[in-house]
Order: sequence, then C-alpha cells, then structure tokens
Amino acid sequence: MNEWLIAATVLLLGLVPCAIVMMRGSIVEALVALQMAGVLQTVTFLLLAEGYHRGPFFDLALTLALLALAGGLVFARMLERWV
Amino acid sequence: MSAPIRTARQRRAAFRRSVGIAAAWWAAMFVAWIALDDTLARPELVVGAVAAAIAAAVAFTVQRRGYISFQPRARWLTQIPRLAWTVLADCALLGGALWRRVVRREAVEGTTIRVPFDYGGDNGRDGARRALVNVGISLTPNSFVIDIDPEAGSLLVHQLVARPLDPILETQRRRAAERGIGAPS
Amino acid sequence: MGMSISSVAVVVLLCIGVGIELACCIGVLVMRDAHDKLHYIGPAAILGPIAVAAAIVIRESFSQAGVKSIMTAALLIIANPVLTHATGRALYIRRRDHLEPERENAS
Repeated sequence: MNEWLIAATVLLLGLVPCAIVMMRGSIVEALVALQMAGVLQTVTFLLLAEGYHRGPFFDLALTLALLALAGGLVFARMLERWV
Repeated sequence: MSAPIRTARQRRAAFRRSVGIAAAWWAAMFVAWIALDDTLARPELVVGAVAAAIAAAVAFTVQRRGYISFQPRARWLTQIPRLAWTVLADCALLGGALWRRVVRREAVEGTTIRVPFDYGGDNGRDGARRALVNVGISLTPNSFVIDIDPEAGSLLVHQLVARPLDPILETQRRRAAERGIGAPS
Repeated sequence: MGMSISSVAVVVLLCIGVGIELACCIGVLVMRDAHDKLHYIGPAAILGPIAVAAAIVIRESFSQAGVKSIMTAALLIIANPVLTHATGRALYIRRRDHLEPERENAS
C-alpha cells in the first residue's frame, strides 16, 4: 500500500455523496452528480495507475475523461428535449 | 452566380496555403500520436504517420467545407493569466459559500443575470469570440453561461455568489455598450 | 523518517487534490438547486486534476506517465466549461420551457 493507493481509496468515498444525490435528487440533479462522479473516477484512475505502476492504466483515465465529456453532452441534450 | 476567376498566381498561392494547412494538421496529429504512444520503434512511427495522415485529411476536409469557422485573434491569449487568477479567486468564493452552507447553516442561492453582449455576425472571428467568451466565463467556477441571445444582444449567466462582473464579462459589457447594444430602455 | 523534498511535495499535492475533490462532492450534496450544484464541478475538474498531475510529474518526471497525466488533466479542464454550459442550458430550458431570466441585472 503506497500513498497513491491510499489517496485513491479515500477519493472513492466521494462517490457516496454523488450516489445520495443520484438516488434522492431529481433527474437533473442526478446528471450533475453523474458528471461529478465522472471527474472523480478519472482522477481515481490516475492515482491507481501511478499506485500500481501500470502504464496502460493512464490510457484508461484519458479515455474515461473523453467519454465522460461525450456522455455528459448526450445526457444534457436528452434532458433538454426528450426526457 | 459564377465563382470568381482566379489568376494562375492566385491558384498557386491557394494551393501552397492548402498544403501548409494540411501539413500543419498532420504534424499536430503525429505529435499527439508520439505523445500517447509508449515507444519510438519504427513500425509504430510508420503506423502513426499513416494514422496522422488519415486524421489530417478528415480535419482538412472539414475545415475546407466551412463546417466550423473559428478564427481567434492571437492577442486573446493575453487573457489567460487573468483568467487563471479568476479561477483561483472563484474557487475561494465557492469554498466560502460551502463553509457558510455546511458550518453556519446559511442559505446559499445562486442568481441568474443578463449581461449585454455584442453577438456579432456569422463569421469566424465573431464565432471564435462567442465560443471563447463562453468557455472563459464557464471555466471560472463561480459563473457559467446559460445562453447567448442574439436578438436581445445579451448573455444569460448564472452566478453562485453574487459579485461584480469578472474581467471577461466586464469587457464584453463595455464592448456592447460602445455599440449601443443592451442599453437600458 | 528521511522523506525527501519531492516525497513531501507529492504527499502535500495528493492531500490538496483529494481534499478539493471531496469538498466539491460535499458541495454537490448540500447545495439545494441543480444549478448551484453544477458550480462545484469546476474546482473538482480544474484544481484536483492539476494537483494530482503535478504529483505524478514530480514522481515520474516527463515520462509517458507524466505526459499522459498532464493530457488527462488538460482534457478535464477543457471539457469542464463545455459540459457545464451544456448542462446548465439544458436544466434551464427544462425548468422554464423557454429561455427567460429569473431576474434582469446588468450591473
């Protein structure tokens, strides 16, 4: 266990408030919490990649950042018009 | 209406410009490939060059078709240090708001404001200005743009902590005032 | 203990980054309105990744790991205003059915 993995573990606690908002809030508040969770997970992947010294894990973080953007835009568009 | 007749010199200049733009796209894509790849082995570089050529061809085609018209001014880059400072200051504001909400149990509510804004025309320069103003305001944590209204000549902005307009908003408000846009009736 | 300066710097940056992220999660939880919650994604997408990427660069220098963490942080920073604007606009339209300000104020 090194400082990176400890940081990643502590950061995962941030998913709890996001989950509470997703479950108890309105659908629009859930989208905001989902976007927050996406940022949180991207940073967690960076920490895990460094903690385990696995180069390909950095690609996971980069990919997640890109897909979270695309997914967030799709959800925002859907909430604007269709849901 | 027929296309304007160009001289041979103009055609050569246009061709050189196109080659330059395509080469710039290829170079940017190839640098991105190298930055992301873990090795500088020759087969990887060859694959990267081919992938960069495909990506550059797509980017060049989109640009030539005029789907995206984006022509920023270089001097707009001088705003970056001020923007970075505003981001830090806004983070402190949000921290204070969180403190008031969590520790002092005070109500914290954001407000929506309308700021005069010169929408401009449908050209690359004004389009770039609108996009970068939107990004600049939405990047600062205390505010984000909800909408840009071309008819009303205004920006709809949401602020969490009410404060005087930040430098970008103030610049745009003054620009609109100079052009008589959004003047109080 | 014998920790080097760089190790201390890494730990400090990690504490700052994780602290900012968790504080922003609390902000998303406790703020009442969806628009108010949206503001707290900003520091989480800007300062948190910068702190973590800086820690990685200190440890790994500008190796593949360092370069990719910088690129990831840059992507989060660039994507944040785009996503915030799109989400804020969608929420506003959904709530109002059309675009009208709550209160007109150009000061």
